[in-house]
Amino acid sequence: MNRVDMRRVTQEAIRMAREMGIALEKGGTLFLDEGAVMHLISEALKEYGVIYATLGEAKREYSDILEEYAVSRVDLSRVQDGILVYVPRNTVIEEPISTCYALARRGVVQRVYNLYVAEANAHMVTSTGCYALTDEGAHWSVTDVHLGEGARASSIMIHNWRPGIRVSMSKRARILDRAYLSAFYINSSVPERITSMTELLLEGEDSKADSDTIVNAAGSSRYDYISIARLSGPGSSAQLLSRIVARGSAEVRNVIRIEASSPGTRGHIECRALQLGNARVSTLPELLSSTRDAELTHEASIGKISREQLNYLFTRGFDEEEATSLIVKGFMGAGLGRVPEPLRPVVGRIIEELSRGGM
Amino acid sequence: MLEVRGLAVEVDGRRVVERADLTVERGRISVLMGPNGSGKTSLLRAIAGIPGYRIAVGRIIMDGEDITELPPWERARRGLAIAHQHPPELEVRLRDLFTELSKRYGSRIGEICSELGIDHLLDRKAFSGFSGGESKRVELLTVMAMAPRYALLDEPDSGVDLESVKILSGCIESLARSGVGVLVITHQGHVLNYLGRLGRGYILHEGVVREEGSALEAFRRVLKMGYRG
Repeated sequence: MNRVDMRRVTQEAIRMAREMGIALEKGGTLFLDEGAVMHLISEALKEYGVIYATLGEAKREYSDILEEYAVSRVDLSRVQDGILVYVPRNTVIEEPISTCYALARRGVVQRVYNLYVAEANAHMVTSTGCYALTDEGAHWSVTDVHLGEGARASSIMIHNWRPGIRVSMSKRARILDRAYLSAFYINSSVPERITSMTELLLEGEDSKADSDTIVNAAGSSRYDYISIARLSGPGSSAQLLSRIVARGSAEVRNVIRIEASSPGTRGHIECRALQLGNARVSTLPELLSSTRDAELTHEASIGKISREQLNYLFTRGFDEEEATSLIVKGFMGAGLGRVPEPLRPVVGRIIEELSRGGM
Repeated sequence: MLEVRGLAVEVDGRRVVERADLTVERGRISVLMGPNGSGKTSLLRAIAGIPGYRIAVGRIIMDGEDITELPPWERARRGLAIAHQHPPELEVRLRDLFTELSKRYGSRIGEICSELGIDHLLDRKAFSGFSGGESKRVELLTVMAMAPRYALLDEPDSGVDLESVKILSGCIESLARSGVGVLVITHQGHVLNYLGRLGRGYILHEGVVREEGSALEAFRRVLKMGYRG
């Protein structure tokens, strides 16, 4: 790819990020294929002493942070790039810290590692977009999150891949005393295959995590999601919710598990799937407790849109396509109220588009 | 005028209404009564065009247009609205449903929401966990949001307290005042005590609809002599 092409592709990647609600030009990082092509740190972040570095910079200047806070064991020499976000204690950052990963070159394999750290009583909001401009390639990522005592983090991740893209991602979050993680994930794409593993380690007393996953599965794509919350801190709690709309001949496997090993812990799993085509969906909620004093619940359902609902909406003037779209929007948007305010319009707009048949 | 001419309705291959002839005039409230299981709801659903309620014989004419063969959404778009007796729980936030209806029909119902005391339901899934009275009020409001020419109301007064009946009656009368032709199915007839602008009265018995003069006359006749009269 020559220099001119790079500029054009970068602009296209920035435009796609904007369409997903991520305004990189205001500040953020864009990784195109193997490396960062744009890295803008807003004045506000600098002013508050936030470290927002590419992995290359982080390895040179903040190796101590990488070593101290990493949750996963990753051989960084095998990783091409990634980011480090470090929010110092008692620092509240309300503007989303945005990062995008785009695949542009045919056949490229992108391998990234990210570390997000919010020290004690710090607040951070992050938005991440992952997408492709090509029809063949792979994205591999490991993301670690460390939330110190009383820290709060809200995150949104949007996937918008294309057929022929293989994705493997893993996320681990360590959540200490009274810290809270709210994570929202939307996959609106049709990759060849996506494998995702999320592990929430609620080690701190009264630590809490809420995770919302929305998947609009379509085409002949295969989706594998595994989410685990380990409640080892006394009084810790987690709520893992997922809503899957399965169209076409997609195949979706969704495994959600909560493990309680400490007294006073609470966990709830809700996985619901709506089948609109001949897709195959399997959903497996699993609750494990090794303490007498845990309260764990789950709800799971797979079904199609009921004839009663459609008939009702017909009598309100909606035809079959419009009625289906309205129901899908309601189904996917059920958790919208839990999305942090700065990110809510983005999620709302994506759900609106998905309900009409895709992004 | 909404005219139902010689309608026979089948559900699952079984004839549930043998013959229905009735007329709903704009700006008036007509009433349809009949014993349990007589086919009143099936008749209304067939007029609205809901799949599964097959019109075997007869025509439905709305302001001169034959709508018998139209799909339900086309009938609704032309101004025919039905308030269901038991609306299903929808996977749609009530606020979104009202927004879509207001957009589609150019209606404004914000003030009425407050008057009907249903503001607190707007961010919930429509009809999910609503009380009987809440369901009836919300359902009537969805009909109003369609700014219809004709409204078919299936037992708007069943299972609600007297206070709610008064509120619902006020809404029904305001529909008629604005020129909407209303057909109300009622069992107990409570709602008739609060309604003006009453039109014709019909009784559906043993599969046949017959006109019994005015709505009040029909109601008094049922009270005095029963449906067989």
